[in-house]
Amino acid sequence: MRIQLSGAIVSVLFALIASNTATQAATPLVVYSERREPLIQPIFERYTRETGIEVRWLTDVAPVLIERLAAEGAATPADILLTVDAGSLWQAAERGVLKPVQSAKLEAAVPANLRDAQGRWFGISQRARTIIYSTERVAAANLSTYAALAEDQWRGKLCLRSSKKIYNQSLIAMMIARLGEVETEKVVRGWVANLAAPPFADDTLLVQAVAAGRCDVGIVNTYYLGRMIKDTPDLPVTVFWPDQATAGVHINISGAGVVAASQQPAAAQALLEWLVSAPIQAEFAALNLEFPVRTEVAADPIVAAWGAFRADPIHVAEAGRLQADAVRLMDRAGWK
Amino acid sequence: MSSAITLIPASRTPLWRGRLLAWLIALPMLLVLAALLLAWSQPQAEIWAHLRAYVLVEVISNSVWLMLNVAIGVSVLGIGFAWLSAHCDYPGRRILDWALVLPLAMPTYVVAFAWIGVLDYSAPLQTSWRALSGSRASLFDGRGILGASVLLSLVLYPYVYVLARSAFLRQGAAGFDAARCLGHAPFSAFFRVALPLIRPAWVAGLSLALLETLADFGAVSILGVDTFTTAIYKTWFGLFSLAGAAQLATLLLLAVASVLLLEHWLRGNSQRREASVRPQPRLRLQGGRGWLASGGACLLIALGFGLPVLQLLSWLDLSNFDGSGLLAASSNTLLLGMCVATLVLLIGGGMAWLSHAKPSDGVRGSAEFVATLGYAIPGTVLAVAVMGLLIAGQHWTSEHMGLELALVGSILGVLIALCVRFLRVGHGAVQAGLTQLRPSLFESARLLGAGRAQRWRQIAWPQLRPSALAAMLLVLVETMKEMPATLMLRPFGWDTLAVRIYAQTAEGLWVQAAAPGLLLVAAGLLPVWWLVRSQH
Repeated sequence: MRIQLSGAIVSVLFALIASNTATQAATPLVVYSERREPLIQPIFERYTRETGIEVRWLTDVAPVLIERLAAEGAATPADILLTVDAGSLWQAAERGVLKPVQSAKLEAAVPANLRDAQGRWFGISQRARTIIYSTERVAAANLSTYAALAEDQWRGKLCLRSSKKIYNQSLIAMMIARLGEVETEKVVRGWVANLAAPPFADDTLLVQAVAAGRCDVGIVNTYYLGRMIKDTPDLPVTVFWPDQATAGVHINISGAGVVAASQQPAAAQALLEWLVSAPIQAEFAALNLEFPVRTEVAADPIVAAWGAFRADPIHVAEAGRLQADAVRLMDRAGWK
Repeated sequence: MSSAITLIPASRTPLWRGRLLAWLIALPMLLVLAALLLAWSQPQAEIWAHLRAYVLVEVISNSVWLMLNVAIGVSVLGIGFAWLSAHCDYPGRRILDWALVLPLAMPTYVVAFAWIGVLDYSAPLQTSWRALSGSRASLFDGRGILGASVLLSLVLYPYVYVLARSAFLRQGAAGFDAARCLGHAPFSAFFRVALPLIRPAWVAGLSLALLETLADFGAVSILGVDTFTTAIYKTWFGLFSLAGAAQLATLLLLAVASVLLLEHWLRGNSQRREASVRPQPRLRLQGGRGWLASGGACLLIALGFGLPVLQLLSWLDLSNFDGSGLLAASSNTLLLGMCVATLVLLIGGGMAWLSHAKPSDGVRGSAEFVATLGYAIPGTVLAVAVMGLLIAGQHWTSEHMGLELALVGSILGVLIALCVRFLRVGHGAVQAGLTQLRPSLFESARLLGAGRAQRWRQIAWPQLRPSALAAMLLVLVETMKEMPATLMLRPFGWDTLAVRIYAQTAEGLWVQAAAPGLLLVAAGLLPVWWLVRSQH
């Protein structure tokens, strides 16, 4: 029985390996995506309808996808890497898994601070990480900057997400770039002292905590709030745009680049160019209530209702360059 | 332990054959270990200075506390109810007997997000409490070390329960009765006689629960507890140091190795004992005590299984149901689970059998030890190491054999990683069964002239079948629940239910993972139901 069973397993194994190579033989465009499936599926299905080119994807977190790209080397089926954070793209470029692309269309559509100078990656949508507050318990006049959340008036009233999340790491990296490490650490220590509850595992829980009254202010990506407002229009929480007299609101990107070992870089580049074309920009950003990278394309009405704001014009690659410093700083300051 | 009571006479099988086989089985884990140790060749002084100063003390203390709490939790719950179920009678026992295994079907990360959904400050439970009491203070919200300890105990106790229960059943009640006759109170008889007899099963179940706790990433992240495993991920993802993460992983393995040596030592002291197969009358728990037992069991099942499932059901949104995708993911999940379970049973069971035949061989014993270390490696770290091995294998076969194999990104990677990871589960369950085999039967069979094959077929296998089946089913459930290694190594376009859950939850949208979550629980129920049926 033992021999029969192992024989069966071996044949199943070979069948699976064979079927795997067989699927690799046909060549649709393959995207390794950190962006969740529900946010990319409608977009890529539209691309297939418009061009006849099939797009397939594999989702995981960016560090794993980058490591997988590096491991697969020239044999990778991937053509595009899509992430939800500029730091990850910077890291992918450093690791050498992305290819420089020269494209007038991409350069015209994507502001220079939201793309790699060598063309290895381009922002597709913008994400603002900003302050949210309870409209029941906080007057907007009391809010001013990210740093001001370290003041004593917010003692026991601030909620933050875990420092393990890359969005916070990028936020702190940008603060280091703006304020320097010493000043940033003072601010972060102040935030930690003001926490109303231990850091949360995700932004949605944080918005819920502000709505339920566990804390009064917090820092989140706006689309989390947007999603909840879509379901509950009278949610007593709204956004505040900080640092308007100084650096501006912290911006991150969801962006993509062509994989260095892609077998069809021209087709991959064409998909990226299509993603930053005006009609697709609106749909791509609206699916997750983000901001288009093309500034002339209007955002979703829920997003537009929060008003215009000054975004920090700093190059988003700084997030990657300073990320490890940011993580160490948050560890020192006791941000869990 | 004398060789007289082993099943295979020492003279017949040459020592080297067993050793070679054992080291062959240990080879994948050995290579993984080598890949991790290789990371020390890239010094990470800056990373280590930082970790030592700000991270390690806290995560080690958190991990130790978590493990201590879980050890107490799963032992008390697992052994307590195993004893009640094997030797007592109380209202509803026949149903509760098997229902107590249900939490085994729950992945810890699924329970954690359902748990937050029930207990969070903004969830109905707490909002209505605040409305009633007029206070703004938070009740216990299920997060932190306490929350994680309770949650992991509630989900992991079935490992101890299943193994201890079958051990209690095999052991019979004769020893316990004798102790009672000698004047010991029930409690004293339990601790002095019954408990020591099932120690191998207890230790096997406990070590599984603890290693699972140590390698857990999903649940502790959701509940906000920084453990050694979360530090490994943070070093890789946040500090961009995969080498530093691998170095941390080797330290984790060192800690695990010491736990396992402790286990070995605890088990080593126990000897094989003759068991009574005479059915024993059950101790009938009267009145209040009986209802207390069934109430406790119901509460346990409700917390570890009922409540999370209800929460998932309340989140289920059928308008968004991706039927064909989920069907494919379900069949992939089951297929993968069966392949891994069969492989692990053959490999791990074979290894346990070898060790049973020659318990005192150190060379073979250390191979066995190395082979079963994989259970403690966090999935993603294991996956990176396996991927490195596949790349090396691919290069080697194309250079030396001219074969162009697509090993990276094939199902082979998933199978290797999961076998390495779950070998311990299969091995431990079979080993616990082997130690309770009754040697006298083999001696009698041998005296009566039965050959090796016949002794195996007619005596060993019938006695081992329950543990072998238990081993296989445990691995099946574990494989289906596993997320990080499957996620990283899966062939392109080949999704399992855990992968579907990940695809939906990456941004904290737990509500959308309700459908694949429920299907995963349902898939897990199949082997759990089978496991229960096989033990009755």
